[in-house]
Amino acid sequence: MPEYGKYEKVPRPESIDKFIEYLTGNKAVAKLDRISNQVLLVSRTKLPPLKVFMTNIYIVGEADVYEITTSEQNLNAIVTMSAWNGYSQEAKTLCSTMKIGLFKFNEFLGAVYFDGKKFLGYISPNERERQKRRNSPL
Amino acid sequence: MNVNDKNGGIAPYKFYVFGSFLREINPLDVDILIVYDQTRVTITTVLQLRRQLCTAFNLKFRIALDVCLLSLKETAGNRFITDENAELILG
Repeated sequence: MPEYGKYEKVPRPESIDKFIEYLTGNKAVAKLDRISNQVLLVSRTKLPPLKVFMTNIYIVGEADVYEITTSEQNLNAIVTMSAWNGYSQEAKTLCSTMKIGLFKFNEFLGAVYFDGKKFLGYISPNERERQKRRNSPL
Repeated sequence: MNVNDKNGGIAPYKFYVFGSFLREINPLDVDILIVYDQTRVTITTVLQLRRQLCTAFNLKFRIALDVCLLSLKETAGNRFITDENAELILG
């Protein structure tokens, strides 16, 4: 049923279930705790835990980052859940300055192995390759 | 809702529509993108506009409205408008 007038963009339950399922099978993850409908605490085997905000925004922009981080404190990551979702580069940079990682669903599954700058700047291997091709001389 | 520039100039917003609303006879929702001029409006104002729009749209049409927000600067650096075949409807 459509969520009339809802602007928070809550992920579909099946997307959250899939996300939790993939994280549960991830070697870097020790335990998951659902803190609220959109917030997950990811305890990791060798690294500090991550407080993760799950959203379903088609393209996360700076305004969304502002709205999410003012409503939810001490986040370590924001993940936009559907496969076709994304974010602007400005939003990714803004998040990094706040020490928050901004990721697509699949990216987070890779980022969870890292910490610090490697975590914040993590992009998928496919995206890394695409950026390398774009920046290479003809 | 007034989205006109208070000085009578061009409003600092562009409204695009994209997604199923452009393709289907009975779409379940309406997806719009608001591109705002970050030099003329604050993020707080834009977020307030989104809330008001969603509420007003729901009351009037009883259909979900999904609103994406990007600044002009953000749209310059990515292909979202092109990739989604978004159509400019206002601005």
